[in-house]
Amino acid sequence: MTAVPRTGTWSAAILILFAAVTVMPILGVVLLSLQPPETQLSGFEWPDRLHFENYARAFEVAHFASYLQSSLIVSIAVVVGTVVVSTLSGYAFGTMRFPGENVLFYLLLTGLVIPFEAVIVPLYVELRAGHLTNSYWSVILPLIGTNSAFGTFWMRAYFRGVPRQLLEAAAMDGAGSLRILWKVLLPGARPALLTLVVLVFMWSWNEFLLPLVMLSREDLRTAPLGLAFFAGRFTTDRVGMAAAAVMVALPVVVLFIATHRRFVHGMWVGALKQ
Amino acid sequence: MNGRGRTALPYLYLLPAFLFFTPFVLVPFVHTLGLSFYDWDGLTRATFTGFANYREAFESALVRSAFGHALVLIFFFCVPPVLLALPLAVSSTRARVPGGNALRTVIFLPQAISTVVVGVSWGWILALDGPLNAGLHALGLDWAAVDWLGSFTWALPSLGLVGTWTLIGLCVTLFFAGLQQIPGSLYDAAAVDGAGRWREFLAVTLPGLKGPITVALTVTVISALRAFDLVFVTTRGGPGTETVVPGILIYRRAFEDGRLGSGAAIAVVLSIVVFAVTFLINRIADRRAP
Amino acid sequence: MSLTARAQRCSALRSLTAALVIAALSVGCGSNDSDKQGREAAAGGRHVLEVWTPESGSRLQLVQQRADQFSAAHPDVKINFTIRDFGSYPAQLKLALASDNPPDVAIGNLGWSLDGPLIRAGLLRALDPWAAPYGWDKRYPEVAQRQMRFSTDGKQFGRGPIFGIPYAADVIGWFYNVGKLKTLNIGVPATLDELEAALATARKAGEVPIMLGNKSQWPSLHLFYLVSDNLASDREINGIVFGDRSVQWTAPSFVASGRKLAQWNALGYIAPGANSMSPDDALARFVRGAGVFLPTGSWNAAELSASMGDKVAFFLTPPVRKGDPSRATGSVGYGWHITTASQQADLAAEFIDFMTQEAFAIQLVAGGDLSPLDMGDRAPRMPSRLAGEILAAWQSVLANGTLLPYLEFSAPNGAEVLYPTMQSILAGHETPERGLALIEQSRQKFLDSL
Repeated sequence: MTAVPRTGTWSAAILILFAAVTVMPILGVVLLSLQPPETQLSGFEWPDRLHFENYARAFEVAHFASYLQSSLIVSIAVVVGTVVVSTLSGYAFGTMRFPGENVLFYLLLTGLVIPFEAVIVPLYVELRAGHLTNSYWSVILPLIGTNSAFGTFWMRAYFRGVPRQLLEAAAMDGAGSLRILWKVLLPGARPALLTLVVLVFMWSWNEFLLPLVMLSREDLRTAPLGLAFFAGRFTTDRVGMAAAAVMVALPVVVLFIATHRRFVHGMWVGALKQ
Repeated sequence: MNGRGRTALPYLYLLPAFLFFTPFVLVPFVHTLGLSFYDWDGLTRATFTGFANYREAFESALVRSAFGHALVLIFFFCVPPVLLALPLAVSSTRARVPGGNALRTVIFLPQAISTVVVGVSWGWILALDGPLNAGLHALGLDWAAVDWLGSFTWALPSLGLVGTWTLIGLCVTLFFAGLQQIPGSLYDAAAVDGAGRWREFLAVTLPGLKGPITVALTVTVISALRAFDLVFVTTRGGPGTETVVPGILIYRRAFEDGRLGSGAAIAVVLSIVVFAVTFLINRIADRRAP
Repeated sequence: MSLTARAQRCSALRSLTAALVIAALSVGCGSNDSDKQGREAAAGGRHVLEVWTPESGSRLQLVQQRADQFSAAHPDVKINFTIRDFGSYPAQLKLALASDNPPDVAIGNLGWSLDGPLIRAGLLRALDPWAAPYGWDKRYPEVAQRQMRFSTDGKQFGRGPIFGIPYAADVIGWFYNVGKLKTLNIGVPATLDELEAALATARKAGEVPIMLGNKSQWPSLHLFYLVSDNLASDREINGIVFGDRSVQWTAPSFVASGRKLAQWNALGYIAPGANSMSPDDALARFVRGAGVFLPTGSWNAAELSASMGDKVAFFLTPPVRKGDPSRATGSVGYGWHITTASQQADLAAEFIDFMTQEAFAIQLVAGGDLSPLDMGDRAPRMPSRLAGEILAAWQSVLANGTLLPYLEFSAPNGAEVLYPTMQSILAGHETPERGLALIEQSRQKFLDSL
């Protein structure tokens, strides 16, 4: 539904140029991570051979196995929690009418705008009093809280776009609201759900401030945290740092690339619903 | 589905979300407001000090400069990404470039990467003996090869440009999605009117992208105001206090210096700024009706 | 619903459940501190002493070995160490002290940098009940003793009961690359002027005179000390540190020191890229042969001599006038404290005494580190020439009474004003007058708050 392409080559060139500029730093770091271990490299250079052992070193010696595991646990828990919770509330906001729905929705929406810095101090004090600091819960629970704000917003937008007739037909068949949700609506919601999963996983995996404050125990540290402290202590081990950085970024990047087509489609679908 | 139902059913659906949102986001936020009126070291008893923390924040040159630095970051995070993403999105829509989807994915990658990774990576790239300077030397531009993140002049703009790099992809994706929805009929009509590419852009494309642009502005401005991760991992606020941003001050005061009340006050001011900016952007967007 | 769809839904449900279970289990495994401590204490009526330390590397090993010897001598006592890195230690210790499971013993940092706020909050005990019986008040040289004291109301550093018992010491000076000095035909400078001439010679020969990693900002303050030790008087330096309001940062001697720093920078003596280089980075580069001089503290001695052997040596900042004794900044650094909350104060005191006896000092010094005790002839053999030089320097400073305390002990929260401003002064981004005025302003605000 777009205009007939006119200057295809110019457009292609711009796009390729930008993609190259964007990817160059990333590529540079990946190349650095494959250099011989003690190199103090200046430029972007192709290594003599691919030193994958740098990754093994970061994994074992630098405890990244533990950091990655922590991140995985946190991210999966947050994704599961957020998706379940957001689908339920988005369903209600999107298909039901009830008193106070606007107020409640806007209240939830403030969660999108409240900066974490404004919440972190009392949150820390609260969780410390509840003996939850230095446990994964101290990160999982607040992240579900904030991500549910976005998740609700997102799923509400999706559910709002569902044709009324579909809902009414199912209701007339005597189906309860939960059944309607489960059997009628969710199957079609895959793109929207997938996008939500990817986004929430990405945001949880990359979260830094919250684990920084809540998790001081070494064995609980998440990957970005581990990387930050590793970089702070071993400032001279550039190759090791590069390998660690790639390892921390890889899971989300892989997830994103694997789902990118559906993801963009999902964003498009979601954007349409505004 | 239901009419104005009197059942508690909808509220039950909402319950889980609010069960997480209220104690872990809403209540702490209200607490921050309260905490900002006290002087507390986190260990002993808190003393009520009224507006003292706010007064100190407004009078403190450091706090003012922190917000000033945030303003600089807002510029870099907001303006270049949006301005650059527009032609990019338009190009990629028109071009039907084979692998256009892949290219767009690549441009989005910086968003998917943790800011810690971004910070560590760019910390190396911008080092005095790092690849950027190596490239400048190779081009014979020795005078330009400075210590980017150690320079009192260039540290903040450097971080700003890192932000630009991170956010272009997000804007491209938003605009690309938005462009898909502009009805082709509008473009046809413009073509019939004999509008050139530029006029077509101004009359059809830009207004059609109003929604995505608003979202992009909101997201990028909030990113800039919250830029804690990037600064913490690269410069920690240095050199001197050139890259101190509100987030860094809040963290330092609350968790390193034992001045939780002061940290809370700055956090409240930051929130107000974020709310105000978001509100303003959306207000302006609404006013310029398509 | 088709069979495949149903199967898909079932498997999705199963993986969901599995994920939740895994998450729940793993969360359970990541239990928090209080559980672990509770379990330990319950283990068979033994005494468990909870000890917190920010040490690392060889010093940590020595401390732990010594603690093991204590346990061996007291079979019913177990020492439990919690180790945190130096950067996070202050924040973490404060939280631990305020929690339900505070430690019995904690290593602190003297003065306002760490101890002050803790003492003010009533979290650390005054050690007078044990000082006399164990002889702690006699064990240390007078100049060190002052740093061990704090008033009980937490308002005055330098007087009052003893709060911390030190076990190691450090001093700041100039490490240098022996080979480079020889190539440049420079002798070890005997006066400040000779040092500056050496810097100029190095610069002219294309070397980096001063290797400095100032990303953490406080190294510029240490460089400042190396100058102000000579230009400022005892009264001025002690006055700043111990809260004498008649002395101010804006005193002419301090301004002159700041000016000299800025001058050195303008003359190109400071390593390029210092502001984005961490201290560890600078050390690594120095080891690899970059830089003629490395101004830093004796805590780096072990690593330097391990990497460079006899190629590295040390001297204290030379005096202004030839033949005068060298003046140096140093401290008895970390001290052992007993927490107010501890229920085992007597046991803790016994432990602390054991950890700070001469036997430990000998082990420390034999490893190339410094001890606050004056061991005279009983000092062990030095593991390296570097260690010997540093020990000689330390002993001379003690003997001459020219040990000066760290100016950063004077107030907490150095990261907010003191360190960044010092960095700005060094870089010439702020004039010494303005910068020191800012620092003084911040100090006045702090003293007012006491």
